[in-house]
Amino acid sequence: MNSGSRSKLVQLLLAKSAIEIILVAGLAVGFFLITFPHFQGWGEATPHAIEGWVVSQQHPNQKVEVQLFIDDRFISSGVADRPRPDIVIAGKAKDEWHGFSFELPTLNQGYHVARAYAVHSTHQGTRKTLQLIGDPIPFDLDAEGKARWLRANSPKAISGS
Amino acid sequence: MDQSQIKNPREEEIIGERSLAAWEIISVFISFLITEWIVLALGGKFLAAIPVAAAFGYILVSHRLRGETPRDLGFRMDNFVPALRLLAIPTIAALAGFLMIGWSAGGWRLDLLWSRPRYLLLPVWALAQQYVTQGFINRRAQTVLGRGWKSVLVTASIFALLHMPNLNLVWLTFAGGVVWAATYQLRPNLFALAISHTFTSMILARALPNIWVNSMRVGLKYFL
Repeated sequence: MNSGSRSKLVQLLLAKSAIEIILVAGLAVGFFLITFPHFQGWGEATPHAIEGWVVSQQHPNQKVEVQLFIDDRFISSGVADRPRPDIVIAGKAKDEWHGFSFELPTLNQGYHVARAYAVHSTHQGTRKTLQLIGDPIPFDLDAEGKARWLRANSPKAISGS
Repeated sequence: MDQSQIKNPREEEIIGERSLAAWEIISVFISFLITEWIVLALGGKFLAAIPVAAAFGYILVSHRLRGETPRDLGFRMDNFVPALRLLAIPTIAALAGFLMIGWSAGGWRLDLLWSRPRYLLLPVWALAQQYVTQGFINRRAQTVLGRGWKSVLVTASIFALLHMPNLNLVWLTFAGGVVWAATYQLRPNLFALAISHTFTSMILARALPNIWVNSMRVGLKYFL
């Protein structure tokens, strides 16, 4: 085989590699965006509940399913469809029906951490992902069973994450 | 210095024959790994056609630029019977082994052979696999390492690694790959290899317990 043919094959090998790199990179980005769409939201502890809001950036009108975990144990799930007029005022959503609220279960007195997750299904429900809404919510439970959010003055409460 | 000894940079070889052949083997191997491990799992069959078409397209151009004819590659009938003779004993031994092991393990599902129309496509699939493995990888391995056990082992190893992570299939395809690659170097006939491949994979899939071969799944789909 002459050097001209070899040179052509080298060029072809490089082109083939470039096509495959673009394909794999595109698939990786596409898979990430489909599997982990961006959710904006926030959660906080009130005296008797974990409350917050969540909006899907991909489907802003969709009511997002939320799961609550406290101290890494599943507590409850529900749909974020409660009114939160403050998020419309803050420009985070076009409608106010994106709030969630979970009553606190019976817990021992003391320090706890709650985490609210947005649930996302792909591939006809065969895959589900959980994405943390905002930050973890640390709170203290007093003897009367009232929670005190340990970051109650956080400026992120409305601005979201 | 004699002017005739000075090489014109334009005439210098970009890459040596053996290095190019090694690069070709690796590139085609990677295309099929990408297909099995990434594209089929994340993108589906439609997108999987892209790396497969890129690999086949490259292989065809490589044959043309090297002046390899279909006859050189093994698409021929003059050595069909001698090649079949070489393959007969190992193929029959493998079939008998699979049937006996499957029978003793209670894994026979041979009735399904006639109820699955996709098995009609198996000879085509086997021929395509043998064409890539022997007609391309084995030939390029011979360019790099010469004819003999080294290029046979490289060809069989690549064929086996494409069946990862299905470990039972990896060992079996390595053994089959050694037989097929050695036969190809002696009697290059892809039709005979495809017949041996068709029967062994068909009986392997239906005689051994499914838990041993996991529906012959390879790549990321093995886990799904």
